[in-house]
Amino acid sequence: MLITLRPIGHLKELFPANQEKYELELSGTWTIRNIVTKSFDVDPDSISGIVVEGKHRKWDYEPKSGDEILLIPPLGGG
Amino acid sequence: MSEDQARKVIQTFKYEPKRLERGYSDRTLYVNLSDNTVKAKTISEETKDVFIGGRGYGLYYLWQAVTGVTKWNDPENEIIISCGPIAGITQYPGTGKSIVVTLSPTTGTVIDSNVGGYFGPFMKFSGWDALEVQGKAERDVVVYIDGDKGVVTIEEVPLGDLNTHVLAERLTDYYSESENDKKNISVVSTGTGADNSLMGMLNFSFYDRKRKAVRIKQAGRGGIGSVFRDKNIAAFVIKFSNVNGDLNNPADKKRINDTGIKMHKEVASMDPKQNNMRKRGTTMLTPIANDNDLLPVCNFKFGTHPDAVKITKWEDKFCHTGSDGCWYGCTVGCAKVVFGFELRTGPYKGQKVLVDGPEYETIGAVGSNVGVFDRDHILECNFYCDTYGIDTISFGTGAAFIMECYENGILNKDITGGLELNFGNREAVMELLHQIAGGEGFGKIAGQGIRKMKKIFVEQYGANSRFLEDIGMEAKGLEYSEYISKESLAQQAGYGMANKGAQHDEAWLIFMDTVLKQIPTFEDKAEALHFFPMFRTWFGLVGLCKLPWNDVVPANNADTDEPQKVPEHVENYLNLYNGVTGKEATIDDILFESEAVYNFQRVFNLKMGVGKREHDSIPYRSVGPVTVEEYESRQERYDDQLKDLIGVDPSGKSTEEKIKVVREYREKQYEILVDTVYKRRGWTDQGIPTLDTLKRLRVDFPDVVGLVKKHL
Repeated sequence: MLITLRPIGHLKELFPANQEKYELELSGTWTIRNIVTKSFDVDPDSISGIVVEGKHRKWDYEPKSGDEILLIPPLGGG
Repeated sequence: MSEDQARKVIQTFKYEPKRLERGYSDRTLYVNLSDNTVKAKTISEETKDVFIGGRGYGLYYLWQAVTGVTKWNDPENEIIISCGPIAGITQYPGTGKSIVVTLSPTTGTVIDSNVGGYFGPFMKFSGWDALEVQGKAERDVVVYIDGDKGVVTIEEVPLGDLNTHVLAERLTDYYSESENDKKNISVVSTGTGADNSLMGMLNFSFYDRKRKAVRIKQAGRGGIGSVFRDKNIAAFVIKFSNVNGDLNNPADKKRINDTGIKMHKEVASMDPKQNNMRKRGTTMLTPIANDNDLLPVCNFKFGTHPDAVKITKWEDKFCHTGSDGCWYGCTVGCAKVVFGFELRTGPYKGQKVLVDGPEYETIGAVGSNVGVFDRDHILECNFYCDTYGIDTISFGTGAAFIMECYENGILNKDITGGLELNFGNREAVMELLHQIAGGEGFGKIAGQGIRKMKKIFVEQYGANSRFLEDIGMEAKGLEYSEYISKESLAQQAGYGMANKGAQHDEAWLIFMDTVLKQIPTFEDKAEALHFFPMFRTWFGLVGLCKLPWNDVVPANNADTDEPQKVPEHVENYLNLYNGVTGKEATIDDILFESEAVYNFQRVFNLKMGVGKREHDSIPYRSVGPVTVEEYESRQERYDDQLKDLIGVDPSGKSTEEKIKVVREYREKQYEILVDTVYKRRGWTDQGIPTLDTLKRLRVDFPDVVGLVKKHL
């Protein structure tokens, strides 16, 4: 399955290549927590929320092929 | 003659300092500078029940003071400072906020602006839930509250330079008895920019013991400082010693302590992994805004710029040796500071000064929005705006508007007195600021704010009024704060429908709307435009800073049902509120309290002639591309929208034709959203709260109902 991971804002700096997005080809069952912690070794405490296709998802969400997963830092705005 | 001999006390009022009970003293201090009346007013249980405190009290007292024809510079206008029941506790971050309310010189209606610093909490501990100042003094006066001794005086003192960085330090020295006593003094002051413009703001001081320096935070929006100087007020000064965490006499001290301990641990462990506000302050927003096409560039034409990377990093400029909380106990400490900055322009050229800031808004306003990507320029402009008492947002947004007019030939060097106000000309920006502060040259026009400038440019310089309406970034007469809202319909309405004018503190929905795509339907957006303004209003009723709500979050936040609302922090706030007041309020209860005050403010706007649908209109620049240059800078995006959203094939069409089609579509979308929000809020299609809504919210006072009936 092919999924896209998009760290938002300064979360990009936590990912190794500091990219806008990562396209991942995964096999088997994955949760978002596993993707973030095992594939990228990123501390989940840095992430305030997860949005997939406009809906909040929790850490144990198992993405489907084609999902774009947005990882959000705390962003309150002024 | 010594300073004490030169001091002339005009009025003395002695009172018994009153112990707070559950966050309230239930009285306000009323001062009339025309006849030097000073008296205490009792706040009734009914008033407290509906208006809660802070912004609510400000609105309540201002409503009593003014009529629908009162102007900002009439003696009847008041400046009211109040902070609310939670303010002053030291166990939780962000609990020292005051709200200042007055009639604004640029909007003509009520403005509210929140501010940190010690004045508000000291005022409460001195026995006053609010300070209400009316009338005009004959000469510059200081209103001094000695909360230790229970004495209020109106006095003339030798003042000299009125600019804040001089005056606040001087008055801190003057009213303190020793270095150790300086922490017990807070000064509210402004500067010459407030004398000479309509964008004056107020600086609230706090003494930084570690760095031995007077620091300031700003009540920036809407020209409150201009009202202050029109009343011939040089400063409010307060003295209160022996601050401790229990002075509110809360109903349940343990509940507050437990909540605070938990939160401080969270800030300590989470903030370094998240926004790192303790090191970066609100500057952390700058790269996010730039990356997501939200940073205003050249009068909001664009949302990003390659040179923006030069103004995104500030940690190396900030001094990290002390605490940067603007009230005791704030571990978030976002009030960053730069020491030893050498000024290159203006009356203090060559001096090394302390600069409080910059915050994100200032970086956007006086940096990217005027096309200057230079940190030292931003610091210079930040310092001078602060000491002159000029709002950085209104100045920057106003200057950007002038620059676009200059580049379009509406203005020229003859009109500007030789200033070449092209985007990117930092010397011209600084000179414009000095002229505004001095009431000189083109600064006399620039200091009037965008709404008045538009009229002048049309009437005197033959400008095309529609173009100016499109590019003049103000709503209700208040200059826009620093976010590009073109791709966020919800944020457009957040700006347009905000009671005070174009400020984002009611609703900041850009990310939810454009990046996360969480509120796709009109109903979704309308629900967000109900919840967020109401919840954010509540912070201003009780004395809280918004930042610790959702700029740092618990580790498990992503696993909650509504992470955007940060449910654990909402629970914290209920613990604080109920712990102080003894209530057992729920989230629905506090939203109800906010909604009542919010609707009262909407009716207040109606009273002042600006509370209808027509007043929720916004400049097209905040909705979509005005010019060919703007459209073509994002041609792919707009062409795709033409095809996918509007159903129009862009091929073969000129850019002007495409702009027209996009505009018709976007303006219609805005009107549909306005209708949907009005319905959600219980307002008529003209934006007026219905009598049923007012009754449900218990603000159906006879004069309110009488006023609304005239408009239904």
